[in-house]
Amino acid sequence: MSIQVGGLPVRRDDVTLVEDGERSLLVVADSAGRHALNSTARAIWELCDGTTLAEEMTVAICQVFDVAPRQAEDDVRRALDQLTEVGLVVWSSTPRSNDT
Amino acid sequence: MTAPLRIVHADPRVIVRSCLAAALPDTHDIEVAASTDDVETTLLQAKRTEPDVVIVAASFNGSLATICEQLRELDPRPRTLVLDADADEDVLLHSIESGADGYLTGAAGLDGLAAGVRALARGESIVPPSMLGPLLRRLIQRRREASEATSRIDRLTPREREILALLVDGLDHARIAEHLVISPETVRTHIQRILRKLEVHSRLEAIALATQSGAADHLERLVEGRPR
Repeated sequence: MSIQVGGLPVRRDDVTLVEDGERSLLVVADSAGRHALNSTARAIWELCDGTTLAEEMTVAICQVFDVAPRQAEDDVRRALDQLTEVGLVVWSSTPRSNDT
Repeated sequence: MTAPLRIVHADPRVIVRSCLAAALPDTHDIEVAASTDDVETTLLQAKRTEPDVVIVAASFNGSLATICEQLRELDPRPRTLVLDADADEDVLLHSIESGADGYLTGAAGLDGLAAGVRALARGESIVPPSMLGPLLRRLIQRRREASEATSRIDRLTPREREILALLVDGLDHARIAEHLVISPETVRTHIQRILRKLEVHSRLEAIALATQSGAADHLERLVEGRPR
């Protein structure tokens, strides 16, 4: 499973973001699952609220990091692919009501 | 041995400038080319010394955007790091939108600051990890609002866009009428239609919508070449 064009990534409800020194970890409830994230992956995880398109993440990352759109797109795609593969993010075709 | 990274440190507080000037040489690879306390001197020193990085204190407040924007225009362009006392999402957003390449808080400490300077000099951008997600969210929200505003402006006729632009310029009914050689009553009618199409309830709301980031440029382009 990988990134779905036009789909909305949604983070799992039973996963918590934990600070461990300088590291950011995603901890899965009731399991030993721990996933370390770099700064960009962490931000992308936080944006997986069921209302934000991968394309919107890409544009915002371009603005902050002053990188080419292609590079930002690759970064977002890679992070979402990895989060999806380990089951931390699921994809929805309809927007969630904003929970933030 | 490689040359040390050169910085200009801009901060209105003399004690902060003194502390940094005293402490940074201990890093051995970063030297303070100049310390400044106002906008003009900062830009002048940045031109003269061609630093790798300019550290700008967030306490410049209203002048912060001016400094960041003007540093971005220099050639060679130094990297700009905004240094804030405490984490402030508004200042971070303002800094990034003004062209800053990085943002750090006092919590970074001297080692964190030195690491930040090195990262910027390598061409990286730096934002505290805990602040990056909220920053991206706000940038996305701004973009959505600008997109919504421009689509509403697109509903206006060329004449209505022209009148909206004149409202943004601060003209009242009478002056708009005089400017466009139409009656004040006609201006009033146009404005009522503008408010309805923009889905706002007052001229002030219409002006706020038309002047928000993104929408202002859009309106400017649409009415470009209009008689002023």
